[in-house]
Amino acid sequence: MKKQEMQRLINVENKIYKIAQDFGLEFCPIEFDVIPEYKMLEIMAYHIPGNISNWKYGRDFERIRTIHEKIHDGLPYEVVINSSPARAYLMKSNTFAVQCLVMAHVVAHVAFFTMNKHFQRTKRDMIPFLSEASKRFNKYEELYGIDVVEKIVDAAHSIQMHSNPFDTETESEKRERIYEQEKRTIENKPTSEFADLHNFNDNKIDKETIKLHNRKLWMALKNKKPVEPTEDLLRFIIDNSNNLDDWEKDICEVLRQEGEYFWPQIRTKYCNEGFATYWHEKIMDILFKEEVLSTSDHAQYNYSNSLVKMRNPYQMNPYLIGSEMWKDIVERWDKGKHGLEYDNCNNLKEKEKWDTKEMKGHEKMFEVVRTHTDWFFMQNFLTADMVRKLDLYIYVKKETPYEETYVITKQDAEDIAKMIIASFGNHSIPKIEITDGNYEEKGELYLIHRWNKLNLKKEYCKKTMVHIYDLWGKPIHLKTKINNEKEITITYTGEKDKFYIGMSED
Amino acid sequence: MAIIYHDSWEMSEKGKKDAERHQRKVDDAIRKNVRDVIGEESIITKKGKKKIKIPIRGLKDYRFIYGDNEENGIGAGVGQGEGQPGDVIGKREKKSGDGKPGENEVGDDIIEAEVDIDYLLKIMFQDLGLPWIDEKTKTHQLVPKGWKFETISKKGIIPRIHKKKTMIEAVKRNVMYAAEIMNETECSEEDAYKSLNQSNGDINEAISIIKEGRLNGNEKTIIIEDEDLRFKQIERDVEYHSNAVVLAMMDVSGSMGRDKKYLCRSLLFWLVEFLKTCYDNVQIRFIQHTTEAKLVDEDTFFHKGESGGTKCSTAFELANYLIDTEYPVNEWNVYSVYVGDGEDWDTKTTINRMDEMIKKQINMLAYIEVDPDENDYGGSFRTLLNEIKTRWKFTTHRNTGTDFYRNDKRKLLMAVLKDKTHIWPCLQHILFQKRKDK
Repeated sequence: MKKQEMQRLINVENKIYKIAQDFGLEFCPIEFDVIPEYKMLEIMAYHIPGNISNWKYGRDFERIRTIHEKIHDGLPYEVVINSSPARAYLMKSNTFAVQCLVMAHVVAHVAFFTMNKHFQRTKRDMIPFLSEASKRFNKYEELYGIDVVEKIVDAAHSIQMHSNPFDTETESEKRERIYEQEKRTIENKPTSEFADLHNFNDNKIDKETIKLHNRKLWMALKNKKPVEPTEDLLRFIIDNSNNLDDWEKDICEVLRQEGEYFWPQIRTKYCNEGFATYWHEKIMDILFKEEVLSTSDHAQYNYSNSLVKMRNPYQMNPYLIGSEMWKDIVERWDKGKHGLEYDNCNNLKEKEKWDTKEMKGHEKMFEVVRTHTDWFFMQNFLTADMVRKLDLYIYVKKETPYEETYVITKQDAEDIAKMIIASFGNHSIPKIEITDGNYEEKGELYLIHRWNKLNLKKEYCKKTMVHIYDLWGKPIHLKTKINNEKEITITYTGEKDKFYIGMSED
Repeated sequence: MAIIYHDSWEMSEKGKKDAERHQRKVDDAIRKNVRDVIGEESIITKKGKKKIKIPIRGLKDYRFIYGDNEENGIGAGVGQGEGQPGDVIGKREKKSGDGKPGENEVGDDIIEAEVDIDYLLKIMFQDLGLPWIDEKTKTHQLVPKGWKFETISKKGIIPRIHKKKTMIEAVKRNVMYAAEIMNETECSEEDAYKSLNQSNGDINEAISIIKEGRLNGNEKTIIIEDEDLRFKQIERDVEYHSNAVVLAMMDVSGSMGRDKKYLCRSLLFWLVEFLKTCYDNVQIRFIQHTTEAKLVDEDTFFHKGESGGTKCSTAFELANYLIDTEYPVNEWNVYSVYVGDGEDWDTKTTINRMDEMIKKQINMLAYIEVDPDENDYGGSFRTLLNEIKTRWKFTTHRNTGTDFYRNDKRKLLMAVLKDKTHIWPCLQHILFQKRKDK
């Protein structure tokens, strides 16, 4: 790369930081690496540079490479790592305009990482952490064979997103807490979950009975694993498995932490990408206005930006939908189009022209950024108006013996908004909890899917249970529901392709 | 805050290596699906080199994800664009045949691997090979491997000059000349070489130079004459291999309906393709029979049918004749594979011909009976297979709903093919020996 080009890039970089700061974006230092194409494709496939070896990354690499070689149409590629300093990548072959777009986009992502509360606990050293792990995993492969290692990696990958970063108590802390809580309840009235541990006959509760009950309570809690249902599946398996060797636990722990790193990113896809797109457009506008970029850059930028914001007939584009929603929020709070008075106004014309010159758009935006995930973002800001403005529709698949067609079914904005919001239920990741690690005293694992009107995908559910079995080594049970009918329990005992379905008695 | 640019990035092989891991998984998946793939009629009926598409499941990352639910409908999703309820936004053609309902849901991306038929053969038949193969010592079939430099000659073209051999020749001759000069003039060795150089290699001139004292201060060197030049000669490189011949016999009589012919051809098609891909040096002869047997070429064998009565014995007779005249068993590994529906007008003669063949000590005789209608003759009709079973003893095993028979002593294998899913186990049954790869 020529010195001149480099200097131009650095100038724009500093300009972008300045503009972003003036708008009130807070962000930690960023390092950009200018890298060749193949490196970019590799980082995109592996998500994090230096990540561990696995066939899935190889498959994705091949897929990305093929698309890039055959049909790459100029869509800007971006990868940003939430570390400190944040690390991002610029593909060497990009045009200057695209480099600027990517830099502006990345700055906003880093601001999102810095400002949003869900990212505050994230590990900031994922790159060295994973590249160290990668070296260890390679050793394991030499020692135990690729297939054996991949089996554990695949299994841990399958459930790595099931954790709860807000659940930071240890088991013994939880036990203490529940004990204290139950103790207090029992002292007041004998109706708690654990009341039947002791026969409270004549409602006469003296000190002795309470003492006896509490001792029994403590013993019961001590034997209960987990002491209360846990969403952190890998954590529980690592701590309680009799099946895993230390090296296997190492793999599980590394991938659990990787899952934790991605946890907030997966749950903020729309608000994060929307935020970054909103800001790269704003920043680029200023760069053009100040003539830092030329008119020929402008054509390039327009083209690439239109690819980023392309409509997709089969799914929602988070860059487009997210950024349009942010624009809507900013406009509403700039013009005061919110609150009781506005909502109660029935005059459409008046509503249209509503403008209190409040100018609190960005203030509101930053307030939302600090606390929201996609789920809440959609609940609070995907209005029926938004659905209409974005031309969103619902389609279903219709099958004939010869073909499948996809047909639009619904266009009622209220219904569509409701359905979209529902699809973000539990942040788009089904809530699965381990409730018993010693089911029927046989050391079997019992999981419950907390059904929220959305069914689990059958084939995926079964294969994931096989993965869990590979880690736990004993039968796995999963309670779930289909279409609000009776609860069922699926059991996998390790026998190939055999699943037993039991109906719940109640 | 900075922009960093390294001039050279370490070439990373990571993506490529892991892609190979994925490819291995694809191969495994193909191998697991082989039973379905191998029954594809389109593969057999098409001519020429072909690529086939194989749908592969099981290369997804499985997690707990949401599926369809009642309220929204099957395969529901959210899209964006202009359109009214009832508008079709997309279509996808279904693959004919095995679209099990419920298995291909939207977003369920079935990876379709497009593979070359040779590649398919290679991974499918990885662990299979012709059984009971012997090293026949008497004669060998020559298999051209390419070209090699073998002999050295005095004539040739300059690009193929053999520098070392030429140098050796020149040194030898120079030493000889020098000795001659020393002998003739009683000069020193040094002077002898110097004079040779001064005379440009002419020995008589060199002798007179010494004798006449005309020696001037020339260096001592080796002079190369035309006669010293040596050239490399190239010739065809050949490899010696044991001979092997496969005699493929098929019933094309009137009783062979469409389904039966299809099963027979499928089996033999894969067998022949396998032999062609994995062995360079196996000859395949094709025999068709009705009431009489004919030797035909491959194309006729696979694409043309006849009709008429059935005398299986004629095929075996022709095969026996071929063995006696062209493929004597002391020189050749002989494999016979017969495929038919078991109908035979004269089972006794047929079994006698088979017995003759076995007694010649050929390497293997395989008898495959196709029975797509699950024996519509009822119990009364005795097929050839049943007759053979009473003649020789077999160990049997059942696999995927059909029977396989084996008699190791007589190197006799049998199987019943009821539908296309049996083709693969049947091939495994015939080609049970692990192949030693080249």
